Amino acid sequence: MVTSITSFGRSGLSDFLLQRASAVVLGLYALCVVSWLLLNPQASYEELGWYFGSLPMRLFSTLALFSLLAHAWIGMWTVGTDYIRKLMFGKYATILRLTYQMVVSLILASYIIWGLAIVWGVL
Amino acid sequence: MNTQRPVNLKITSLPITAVVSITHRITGLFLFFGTGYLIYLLQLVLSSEESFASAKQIMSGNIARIGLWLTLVALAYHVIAGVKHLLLDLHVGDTIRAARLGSWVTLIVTLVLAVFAGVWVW
Repeated sequence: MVTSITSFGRSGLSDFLLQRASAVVLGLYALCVVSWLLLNPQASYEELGWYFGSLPMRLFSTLALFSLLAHAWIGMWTVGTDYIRKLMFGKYATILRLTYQMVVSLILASYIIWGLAIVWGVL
Repeated sequence: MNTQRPVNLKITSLPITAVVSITHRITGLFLFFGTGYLIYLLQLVLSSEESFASAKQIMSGNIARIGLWLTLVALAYHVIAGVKHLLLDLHVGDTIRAARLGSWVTLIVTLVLAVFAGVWVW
């Protein structure tokens, strides 16, 4: 049996809600960015900088990045605990699943730090 | 596991609702990496005039375009299937007939958006 020590919000109900709240943020963010890009198909370097560098978009991007962390964590946790189990991997299941979880969280942490650095103008 | 399970619990073919559901998961898994690609592109277009030009250069290649297109299609599918999922949470369209219809709508709308995304990228 898999215990929920690597869940995001430490409880199934909290994860359920976070998954959905972050989904709404990410969906709206994707819609927002894609529609701007469609309305400005020949956007120059300056125009893109102006758009993503504006305060509302900086805040929205930051919110989207944190939503991505929660959303992808919960999604990847669900996938990992569904497939990396004793049934398929025998006695190595736990160590494999925890390694997988650590790689996932490492990649997500990189995305967040990298994304924040871009959005707030360090990179 | 008990090997003497009732045989009718074995799934022999996936109904359309199941296909749409597992594809939601697969696109999610794909987007886990696709997001990294999008962040990379965002960095290129935002960091300097030179990197903006190199992004344009990279995006003139077909492999980069296919990667972007696949990511956009996965994103479109994942968002549409996600909206369907939220509606199901609210018990909207969760009868078997409505669920089948919702699955087909998800597939067809994604197909249309995939064509649009293709026109956009190329």
